[in-house]
Amino acid sequence: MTEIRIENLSFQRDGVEILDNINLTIKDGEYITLVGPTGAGKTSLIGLITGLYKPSSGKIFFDGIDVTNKPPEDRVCGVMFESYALFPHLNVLDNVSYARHMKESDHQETYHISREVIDLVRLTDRDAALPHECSGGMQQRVALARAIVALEKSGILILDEPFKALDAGLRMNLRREVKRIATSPLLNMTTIHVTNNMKEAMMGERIIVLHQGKIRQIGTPDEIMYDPTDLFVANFFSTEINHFSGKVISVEPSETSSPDEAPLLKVVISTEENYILYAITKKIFKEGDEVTFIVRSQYFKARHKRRETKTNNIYGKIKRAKFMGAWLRIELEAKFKPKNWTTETPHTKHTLPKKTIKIEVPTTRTAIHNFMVGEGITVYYPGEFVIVFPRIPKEELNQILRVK
Amino acid sequence: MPDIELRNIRKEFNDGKIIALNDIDLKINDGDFAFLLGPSGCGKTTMLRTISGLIQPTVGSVFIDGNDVTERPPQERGIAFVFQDFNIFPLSVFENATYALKVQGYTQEYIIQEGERVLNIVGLADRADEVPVGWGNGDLQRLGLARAICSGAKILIMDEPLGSLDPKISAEFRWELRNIIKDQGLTAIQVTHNQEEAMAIGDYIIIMRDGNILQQDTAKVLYRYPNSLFVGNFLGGINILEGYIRKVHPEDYYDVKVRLGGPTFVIHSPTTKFHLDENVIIALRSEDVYLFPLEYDYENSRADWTGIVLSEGMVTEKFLTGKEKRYIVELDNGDSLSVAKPEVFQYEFLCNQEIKIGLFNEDLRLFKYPDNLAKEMDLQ
Repeated sequence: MTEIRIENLSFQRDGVEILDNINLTIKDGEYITLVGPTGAGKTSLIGLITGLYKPSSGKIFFDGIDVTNKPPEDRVCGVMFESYALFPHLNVLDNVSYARHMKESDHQETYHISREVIDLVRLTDRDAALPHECSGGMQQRVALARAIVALEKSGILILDEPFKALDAGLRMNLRREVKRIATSPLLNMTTIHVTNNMKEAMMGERIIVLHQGKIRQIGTPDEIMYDPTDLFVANFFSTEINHFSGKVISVEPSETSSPDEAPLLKVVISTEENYILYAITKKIFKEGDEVTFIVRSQYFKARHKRRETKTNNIYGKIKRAKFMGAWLRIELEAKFKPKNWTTETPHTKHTLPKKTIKIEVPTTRTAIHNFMVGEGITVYYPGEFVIVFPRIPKEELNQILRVK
Repeated sequence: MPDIELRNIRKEFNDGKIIALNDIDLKINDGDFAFLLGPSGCGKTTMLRTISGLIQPTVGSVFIDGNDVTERPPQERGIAFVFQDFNIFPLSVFENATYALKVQGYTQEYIIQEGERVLNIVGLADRADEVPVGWGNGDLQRLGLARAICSGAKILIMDEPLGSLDPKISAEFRWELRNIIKDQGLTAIQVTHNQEEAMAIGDYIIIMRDGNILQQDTAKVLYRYPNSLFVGNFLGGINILEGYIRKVHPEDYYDVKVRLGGPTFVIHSPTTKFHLDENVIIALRSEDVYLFPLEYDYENSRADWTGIVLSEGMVTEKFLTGKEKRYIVELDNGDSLSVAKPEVFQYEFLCNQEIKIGLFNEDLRLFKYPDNLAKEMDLQ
């Protein structure tokens, strides 16, 4: 097992700053995911850990020992790439044991270790098969076993976008399987799993979110999901988000506070669109603060009836509804009432501001999901699920959400 | 009317040792946006190439607009292509987009008019004079699309156009892609690895395997009523239980007993017939499994609950996957089910917690027991 500590690490290439002051500790035996969009610096960070690149400044420690200037062969790192690159003429056992045979003369011992790892990846009775006789999922396990044997079952295992080329349906089970293998008590490995996929990142015990060469957040899946540090992280870990900016008009203790935890506040805002929405949050805000509410598409619930008098109820017409398996995705053209709206106000339908709200509702038998395009529906969200940030400027919203 | 029809298309490689397309009949109507899905080696790329004329079928004919184009070269079929990797010329965005028009000898006036129109459509009008070197894949795909539209072709063939994009960018761009195709009235065929993308923006999906078309339907029908275990599993993981037919009822209802002392279900199967004692696979989508706390009194608490509740089970694994929470639940007979619940769900269960498991007979699908179950479930 190996603990990795990275201190003030920066990396420049051709005068371009690729990684900027990275500080990070990966625990001994941890299964951590490294996630970010293309160009975030993931590959560079991995290259620095394996010794492929030299940092411009900063240090890397393995178990407290400075390895910054050590060559790759003196570091205990093994990498499994997206393309498995198995030897086509060698069977499963020989592919798995090849690297260790090259450096160790005790071939019996190598075969012994290889067989143990082949058992672990559940290929016991397929050790004589050639790669082309194996399915894609099996080839993946062979490649994984090979990386583990080359590492002598301990050290740092790096999985570099291992499932990128696979069909979505196959990934779920493979992800679980790979995690089960890498964290097996029979091995002593610290695993860094690199991905650009949000769902895959969630498999980590912790997640490192990298963006534009900086670490945006490190945390457990729950921390990243429910307490993202900024809009980038919130958006990256969402299918789609909705944002509402406005001014706080009241703050009061929430009825849902539990005595054991930090008190929750009910923060009510009046949005730019003249709508009254609230959030239940631990963050402290006061009347008059400018804030932005982020509400993920899956938090909305929908009703067929028009019922817009209550807070957090938004009425609108369905512009688009698309069946996507377990979820129905709806684009709602919301109509917002003016603040001074009363039941006596004449119907000012045409002058109401509009905003497109994206929601997703389950399609299971017990859920209401027979929503039709053109239908008027009311959607609402529980205040507990809103992520509240100090007001995010429009330019930043546009840039991160890529609004044209 | 640029519709596409394949009649009895067969494509063999290596003197018939490999059958890439096995007597395919297919019709894609004018204005359809069709998706082609299947595991690697299923024949989808060969199918695209056959339609576009890049390869010749061994047997059979390709019709476009009702004309037999089997013998025609690609450039005479009125088809434009968008690939995953887009080849840019070291020219301006405008010149890249309008390249085909220039080659075809149109007047400068027409080229300018068309170029402006098309760059507007794909959202690149304000970058017409840039040279697209070093551009991100998303913007390059816009340019690729502009070039395809500019060619004047009414049929668009796209091989993983969003495949090289980050998942987040590709998820945003796909809606735009659909709008452009629909607004331009194009007939489009797209190959993808991403089932969600196909369900989201395709009019319908064609699922292929081993050179055959398994099913061609809308996303909803394919997802809810797959005609094979393979199709059901391919469009999003499915739980399977092994069982056998214990009783055959009239009107295609069957009593199906789950192996190893599992429960008995009543399942309707109007399309496939089964006989007494036949081995079968029962399939159930992960979101169609319901979980309740042990003490939950489902009969008196939910008016809308018409499902059945199984004997108890135990949560063995639990993790977040984004908007869903995934529970792995073990049944009394040793079978395990993968259960997907919305991330915001009324109950929260812990690992090793005992629970009740509910389901609706109507959500169960019945399939013939395959010769090789592992192969049927392995999507490669």
